[in-house]
Amino acid sequence: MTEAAVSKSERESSPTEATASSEATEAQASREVKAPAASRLEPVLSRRGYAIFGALALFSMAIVPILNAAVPADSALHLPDYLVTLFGKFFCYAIVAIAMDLLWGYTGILSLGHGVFFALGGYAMGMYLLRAIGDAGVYRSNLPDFMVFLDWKELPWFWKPMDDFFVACIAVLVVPGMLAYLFGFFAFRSRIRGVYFSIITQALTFALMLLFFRNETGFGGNNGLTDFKHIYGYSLHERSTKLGLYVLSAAGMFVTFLICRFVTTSKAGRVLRAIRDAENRIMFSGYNPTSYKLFVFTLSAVLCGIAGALYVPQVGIINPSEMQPSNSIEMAIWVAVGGRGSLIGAPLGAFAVNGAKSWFTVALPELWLYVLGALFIGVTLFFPKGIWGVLSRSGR
Amino acid sequence: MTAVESARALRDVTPASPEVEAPPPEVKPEAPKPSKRRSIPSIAPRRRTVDKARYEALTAGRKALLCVDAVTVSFDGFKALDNLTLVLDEGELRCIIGPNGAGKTTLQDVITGKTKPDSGCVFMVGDHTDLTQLDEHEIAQRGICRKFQRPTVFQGHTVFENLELALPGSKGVFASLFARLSRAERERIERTLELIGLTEHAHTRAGLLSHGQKQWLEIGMLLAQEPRVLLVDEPVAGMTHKEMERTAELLNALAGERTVVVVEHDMEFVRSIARTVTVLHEGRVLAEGSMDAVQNDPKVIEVYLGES
Amino acid sequence: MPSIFAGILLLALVVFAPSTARADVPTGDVAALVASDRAEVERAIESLSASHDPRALAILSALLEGSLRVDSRGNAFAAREGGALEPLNPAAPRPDGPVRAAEVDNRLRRLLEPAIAAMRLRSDDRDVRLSAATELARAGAGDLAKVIERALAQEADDDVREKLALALAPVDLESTDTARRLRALAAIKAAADPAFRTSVQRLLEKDERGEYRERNAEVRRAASSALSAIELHALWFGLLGHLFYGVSLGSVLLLAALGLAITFGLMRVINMAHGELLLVGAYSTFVVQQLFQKHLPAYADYYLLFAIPVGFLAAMAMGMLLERTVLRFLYGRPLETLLATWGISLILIQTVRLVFGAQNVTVANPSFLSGGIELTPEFVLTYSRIAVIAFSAVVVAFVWFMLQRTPLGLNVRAVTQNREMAAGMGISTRRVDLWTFGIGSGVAGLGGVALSQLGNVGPELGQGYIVDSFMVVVLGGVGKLAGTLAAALGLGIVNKLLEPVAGAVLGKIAILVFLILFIQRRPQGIFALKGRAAEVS
Repeated sequence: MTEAAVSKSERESSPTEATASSEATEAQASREVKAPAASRLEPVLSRRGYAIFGALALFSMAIVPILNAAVPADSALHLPDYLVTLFGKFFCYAIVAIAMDLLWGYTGILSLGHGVFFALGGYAMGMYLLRAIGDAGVYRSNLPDFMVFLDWKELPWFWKPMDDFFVACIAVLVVPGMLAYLFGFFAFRSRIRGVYFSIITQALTFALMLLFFRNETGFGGNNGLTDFKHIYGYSLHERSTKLGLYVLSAAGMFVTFLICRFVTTSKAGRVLRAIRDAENRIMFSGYNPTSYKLFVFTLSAVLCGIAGALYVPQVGIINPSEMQPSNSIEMAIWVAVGGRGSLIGAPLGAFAVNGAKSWFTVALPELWLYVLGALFIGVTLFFPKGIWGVLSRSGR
Repeated sequence: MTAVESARALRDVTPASPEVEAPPPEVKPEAPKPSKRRSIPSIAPRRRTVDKARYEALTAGRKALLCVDAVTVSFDGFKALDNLTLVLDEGELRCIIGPNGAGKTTLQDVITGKTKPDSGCVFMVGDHTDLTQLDEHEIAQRGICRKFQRPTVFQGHTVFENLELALPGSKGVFASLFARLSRAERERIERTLELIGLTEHAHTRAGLLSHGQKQWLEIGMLLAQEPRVLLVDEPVAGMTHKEMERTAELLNALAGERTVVVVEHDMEFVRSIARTVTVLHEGRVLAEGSMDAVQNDPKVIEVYLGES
Repeated sequence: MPSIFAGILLLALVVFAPSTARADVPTGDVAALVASDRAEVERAIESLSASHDPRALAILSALLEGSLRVDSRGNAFAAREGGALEPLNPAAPRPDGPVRAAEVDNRLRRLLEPAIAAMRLRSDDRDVRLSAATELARAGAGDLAKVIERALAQEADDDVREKLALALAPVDLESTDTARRLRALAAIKAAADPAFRTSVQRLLEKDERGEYRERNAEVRRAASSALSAIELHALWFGLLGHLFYGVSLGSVLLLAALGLAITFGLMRVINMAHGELLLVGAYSTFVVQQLFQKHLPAYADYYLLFAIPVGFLAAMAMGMLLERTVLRFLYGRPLETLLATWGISLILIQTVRLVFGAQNVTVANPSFLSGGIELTPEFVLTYSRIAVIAFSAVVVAFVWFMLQRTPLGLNVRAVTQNREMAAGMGISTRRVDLWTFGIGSGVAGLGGVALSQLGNVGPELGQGYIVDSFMVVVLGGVGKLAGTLAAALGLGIVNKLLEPVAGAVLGKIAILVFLILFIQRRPQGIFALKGRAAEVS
């Protein structure tokens, strides 16, 4: 990519975000009165923002469980179990979407490999869940069923620590984080940017998918990991466990939002946007874009790993098809549909696209790919700012 | 504010303002420290520090600040810089001229770290580190700033934020995650805003500014960055005569406290500001000296002035 | 012992028989071949097989084939296709009276085969002997061991001797005679025939008591040197085979990536639907094939020649449609282009599924592309692969010619190097964009036509190539035709060489890792321009 082309595309595609700057102005004005010795330039959320945030969190983490568990099943307000699990899944997707938005919307890096980080988090959790089955599997062996099937006699070394829930939780964070750090280190150091980065992340997903499809790799090959029974002693078939996982996923999304919001409103967030808009200038201003990119790429991967770990116990399976390049690209479309560079649009997009997917794949399965394809084209051509862009424009 | 006033104000306020925490840079020569980061790998192993003898030879007997020592850059066999040596003194205003392809832009690229030379090194006085082994941002942190020909500001950020990002200080990821803006820094930004006449646009997105305002914002950012060396690339390209005058005043005002290097094509403009002129030709220094001396140099007349 | 006596006796017969056989083929014997009395037929065969006359050989061969016809005067003819009679006796060019067909049954065949083999092996013509020996060596001695043994004892030519010894080798290896085992091993070593690998290996194994199965150390030495000859030979041919498959895969990659080298390399359009343009080409081939089978079954083989332009034009039309309706609004926004074209690819795949079904469709090779050149039994150059290699060479030449030698190519290069300048000089950049994209897409369609000849055609065909194609273009260096060529062939060969070592999947992963590391070192690809030129282009 030539310099000119990059800067041209940056200029045309940089979605600038009126909300943040106007909020900054407000905050600015309010601080001039107090004039503290040192302060953040932007608050993480405005007062109104915190109110809305709290209301949404309360609704999804308290009201929804009540509608499911406390409201009798014949009531019109009752929320069936399958919807709770579905929403739980959507919250996991929303975490991914926010993490993607931090990377793409703010820093201008489009990763087409985030499905890998999601799947790695899922695999780490899946390994624990599979070990938690103990000898209650089909073959009544202490080894996971697929290993018995492959005639393995001993647990591979990388499976051994996964018996412990907390080790698995650490692996959920560390494995995607490490991969992202290493990959990002090589990629950003050699100044691979723009579509080149997108393409090599896609190659990364492709390679890892092939690797995980192999039986010898030791993650159940084609079938992946499944037939989970317990998580931390709780049965996965109990409604209370399902509700618990749902609430955790929702909480995960709200915490993810706050973390990302903290990053984007900090000075580091302004550096990230500066990297997106004029990488040369930020470099000549004394910032090292590589370390900022590496930080945000790794953070985003870790968040995806958490999302994957929350996702797997709810859907009950993890297999290499999660690493298909198409899955990672779909993640990008959630963000694009919701609207980039706001952190609010991304979860909206995740809910909207996946809601539509759930409906279409049941009602009109043949049409779903047309709808998805049309979304890809339509959003890029006609709604570059996505749902949130339309909403915030009409709200003003 | 007129150009003269603003230039004067800049000279008066910017470098010597008492609130500025950073000590005057030239007082604090950094100990030579090897760079931790590796740069683009080259075939032959290269030294990370400058040869002592060369250092002494180049800096002896003058108030040198930045030395470019025997730098060669070639692109596919074409030598953009050919064993070029150049010493810039503290506080001087140096004009670098030369016909197209003389290596002016490549020279700036080498100094700012954008281009890695095939051989030779660049160093600052008081520090034996070879700057060519560093990345762009590390060089910038050492006080070498660059003004692009086309104004380059952060379009999506407000003017205030643009200046905030330019302030000196710790620029690592974690420092900026938890960074807070001190009162002194805030005042400093406000003063700079006044200087560049953009106070009422403080919270306007830079992308919405006019071309001229962007130029001034970029200058403000460079000043906020506290540079020791300021590289300015063709500052008057496409300017009216009046704007040229104003820019000349500004550059003259900036020199003295900091080293200013103006790379320029326009001889008229150079004549109006120049104290020392370096003429580049085919990647080498053809002549160096006062404008008059250079102008009467037969070699220069032949390759450069003779043409125009 | 009796067998040796019999051998000597037979030898004597063979040595002295020719003098009597120099005369013409006795017509009486020939006539007897069609006699109803089996004993008479057998006697005639015996008599004829003693002859040295090549005509006798031809007559017996015809008898074995079942094509022998004999007229009332005892002149032999061979029935050829279409009912023509080829005279086997030049003295009688036309049959006299009605001809009778000689009948042959299994018992006669058992008699005829060794007889014919023996006749060929004692032919005066060295080439006949050699080809007979080669056939025997390939088929194994079987029942003919005695005949071969006899011929070997008499044979003077080294090549023929070697083949004969090879034909006897399976029998000889089991022999108790050390000299025969050594002879067999020498022949095996000279031929380096992998078919003998296990039987030679067995000689070097130890039995339960820890003793070598082969007691004789000299034979063991010969066996191990024969074995290493076999291994070396297998290695060479294996390498040659991988090289061929590598070049073949490389040319497939090249065809898949060439269109991309134009659309991505020259226009910087990230077309994720590129794989689906291959799909358009492949399904066009399928449709053309169906139409030919239905309406022009007599010319069904030639559908492929027609499919080439159809595939090109269909993909080109599709590409131009995409350019007009979607891509031109996204120039300069590569990430958006990537997403939009991905959407297009989803729609195209689903359309193919709905129209042609989700299952693979069969695109048959035309008969002139089925089969191949057999270099050795384990190494066959199939015609379809050779054709794809040749085709990709032609397509590369076509693209090169178009870019370098036509006014359109000049405009394309001008626009891709400096859009504003080109526009200023009166080039319609919009039209150039349209045609460039169209041609890039058309070339992808040609790739699809070629792919349909090598494997299955299904809706996911294109998806399998998209990552590889991008890798080829990136590795080769953006905008460099020579780089694309080198990268495609290099990747193809490396891929095929890695496969037997690391397995297909790990090989692929290794290549992807290598590519990622390579882009680290040379972000501009193999054929990179440095400095100013790189920044301008």
